Amino acid sequence: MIAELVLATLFGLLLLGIHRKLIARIQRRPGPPIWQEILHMLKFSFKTTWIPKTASPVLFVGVVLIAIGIWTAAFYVLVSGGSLLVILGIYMLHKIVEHGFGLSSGSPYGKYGGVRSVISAASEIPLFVSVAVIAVYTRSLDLSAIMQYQQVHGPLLITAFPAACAMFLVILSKMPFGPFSIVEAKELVSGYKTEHFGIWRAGLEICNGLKTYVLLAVFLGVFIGPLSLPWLLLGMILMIVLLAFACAVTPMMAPFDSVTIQMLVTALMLVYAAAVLLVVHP
Amino acid sequence: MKMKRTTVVRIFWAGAAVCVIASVLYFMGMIPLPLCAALLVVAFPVTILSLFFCWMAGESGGDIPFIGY
Repeated sequence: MIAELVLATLFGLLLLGIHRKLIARIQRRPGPPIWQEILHMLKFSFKTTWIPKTASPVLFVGVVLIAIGIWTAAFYVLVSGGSLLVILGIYMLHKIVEHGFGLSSGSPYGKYGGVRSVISAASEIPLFVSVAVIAVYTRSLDLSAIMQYQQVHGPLLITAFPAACAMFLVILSKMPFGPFSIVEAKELVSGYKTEHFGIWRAGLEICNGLKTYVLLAVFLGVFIGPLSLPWLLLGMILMIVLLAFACAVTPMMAPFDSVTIQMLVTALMLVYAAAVLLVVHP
Repeated sequence: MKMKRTTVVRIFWAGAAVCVIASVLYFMGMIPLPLCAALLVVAFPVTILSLFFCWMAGESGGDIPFIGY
């Protein structure tokens, strides 16, 4: 189990590297090699590490452990085919962790980054509606049951395409260099992770790798169905290509615009969910 | 706040042992997946961070100076 966890983390970091490389190539830049994020994580692990005087030491260190811990838990929920609601809960918990990162450092940049992570919680509302639509179709929120449903009735990507688009938007909001990445905007230096340097940042990179792997695997499981490992990995690479295109051709939005678009998507999804409820369970 | 290298090394080996033993016991069917996962959720982050502390700590110095300014 530990081997799978380590490999998933490394593959997640590789996906982030592919994402970065593709964005660069689309923008006609050479870009870093695809294993850059793995090197990045190793580089930070060798850097001098500190805790700023203005920081709350317990929270400053503890939040890194929690960040890795919650996505480790999400990985095992995924592996065991557990409840989609637990993954949703962990996704929301990640927002609180981002907030904790920002507040624990005492840096104004970190604090603003933390505040923006709370604002960007608007991106989670389409996820609620997406999950509700899945529940209406499959009458279950267990990942294993959702996958079994798709073996019989075909992929939800076709039958619930708007829900897949909404969840894609949610994943897009978590990707670096994306239109909704307001927590990492350059006017905030590095946002909530500005003061987390050295091994703390290396720990955060591990969390990001694991998070990317889990979110993409959950998307494929929920909207495509059960896949063998080679197809799952190929599916993740295709997903990251789509996400890279979306990130490369759209500028980072202002926080207000980002929240407005996400609320509009939520409104559309609510209409869609109501229509599905009326059609599937009249 | 300072931490001795020997302490960090001990934490790393303890965390790594928990991760490996939990995985082996799960494969042998002696513990269920939720218990294995619970152990790894606690041990994996600690192991990773202590590993990073281990290899950045110099052999000559007594402590890891991880408070700067």
